[in-house]
Amino acid sequence: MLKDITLGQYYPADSILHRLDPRTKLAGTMIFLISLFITSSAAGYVLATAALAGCIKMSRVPFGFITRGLKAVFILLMISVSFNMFFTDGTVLLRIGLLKITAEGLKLSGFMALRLIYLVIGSSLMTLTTTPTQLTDGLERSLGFLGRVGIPVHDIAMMMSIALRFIPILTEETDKIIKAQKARGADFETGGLIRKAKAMIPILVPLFIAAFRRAADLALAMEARCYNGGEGRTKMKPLVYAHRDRAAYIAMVLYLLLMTASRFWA
Amino acid sequence: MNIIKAAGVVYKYTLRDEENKLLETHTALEELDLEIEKGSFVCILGHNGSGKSSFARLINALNVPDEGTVIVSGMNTSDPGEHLKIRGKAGMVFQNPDNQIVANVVEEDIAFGPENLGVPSDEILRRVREVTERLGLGMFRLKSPGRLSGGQKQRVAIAGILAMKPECIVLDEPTAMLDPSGRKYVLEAVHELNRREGITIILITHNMEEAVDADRIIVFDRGKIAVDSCDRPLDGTPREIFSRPGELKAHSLRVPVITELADELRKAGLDIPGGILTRQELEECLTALYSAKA
Repeated sequence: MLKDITLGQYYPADSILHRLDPRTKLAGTMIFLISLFITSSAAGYVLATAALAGCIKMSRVPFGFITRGLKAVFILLMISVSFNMFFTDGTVLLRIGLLKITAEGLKLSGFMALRLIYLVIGSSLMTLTTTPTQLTDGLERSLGFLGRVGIPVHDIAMMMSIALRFIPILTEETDKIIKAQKARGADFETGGLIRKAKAMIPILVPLFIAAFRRAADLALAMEARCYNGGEGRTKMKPLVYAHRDRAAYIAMVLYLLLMTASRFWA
Repeated sequence: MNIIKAAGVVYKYTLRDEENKLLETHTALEELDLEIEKGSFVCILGHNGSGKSSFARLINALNVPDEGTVIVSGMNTSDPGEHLKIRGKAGMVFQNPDNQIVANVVEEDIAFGPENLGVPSDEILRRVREVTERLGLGMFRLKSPGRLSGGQKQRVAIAGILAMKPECIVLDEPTAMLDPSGRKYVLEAVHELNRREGITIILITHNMEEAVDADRIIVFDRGKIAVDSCDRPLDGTPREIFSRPGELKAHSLRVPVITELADELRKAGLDIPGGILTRQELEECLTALYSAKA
């Protein structure tokens, strides 16, 4: 299960999407997410699907790799789908005791499921095609104005990029700890919720200790390599908008306009 | 010329409770005097708690001595204004390869040091290219460090230091977590840098076999340079140090396996000189003995 978390993982490849400026991709993801909430018609979803499919094709990331992230949100997806399915009023199609399924509910839950799936795929696509450093560079640059009101933008961006770097390492470590505890007879499967939660303690304690140790090591290593905060720092590859970014922005604006129009169309 | 001069260095670790009351002090280094020549390959040996890692951290100003001075390429580490410059001149490679790589792509990690130093972008790119080529990391440049082996990760860490154009690299047990082939891969790179570019190398290790190729070995014990039974410091060429296995044992260290084998053979009556360091030397001695007999 832990290997299924693709959010925040980078998939190295050479594609247009990989080469886009991270700020463009951030804006694109934001626009895509907003557009999913603007639209409510089938035409809108067709357009969103086409846009997403186009981006996936351009990204050259294998489709199986992108959808792996969905497993992690499966339960959340099921909960929201069943809520929408059973608790929406309208023409009753089927009634089982207190529960009823309505045509409107079915439609709504279908859209809701698509919306959630597209949310996850859209944001994973961004992190899969953007290195964490680029991503945080992008955030740092686009949110740089917050620095003037005393928000330490660089520090937050650095923390994020390090957190992303250590996700796979800590996941692996968690797997190792689980196996080690199982080998010594720990039981994570049986018992009620409270027992299961209690069974997590022997995983979390060593995991936290290991994470703190890593953090201390890394801090030392960063200091040894002259890290001194954001001031006076240069970049190997400073962010510069290219022609493709301008084209992408135009495409995004068009897409947003069409999606807004689709709301009033149906 | 000496790149590192430590004089009368005392360094203490203190343990304090929540109210900042002193619980315990542990003296890691006691009145240490040590100079290291520019361009040399120095190996520091010592068992756990001998103060060798504390010394490493004093060299690039991660720690500052409580008493005495440490001078690195003419800069005093006790002056906080010089810390960044010192760290750029004396880089440090740590034991755990995962915990010292900052970025998610090899080339971005190598660029981390020069970026911190404020080097212009095109110069960073040039250096990263040059360094990856020199260390044979060209094909990993755009890979995620997570996909590399331990030895490759350590080479990335070395490349990251090299991109800062240091005069000296301190390696604190860089091979302790690696398999034998990873060990060889990392040490080859380190020796190459020392020979070709004249970068001073200070290698801290537990592994005697790694010390054989050094120019100089310094044995640490209890925060000082260890002394032999006649009060002379255990500080000299590998041959001098390893020809006295008894002295090393007194400081809980052993000699390399080949040296030990040669010593045992001598004890058994074969005419072999002391201080044999490599397999090749032992082979030559044995063939000479054999042909003399025949």
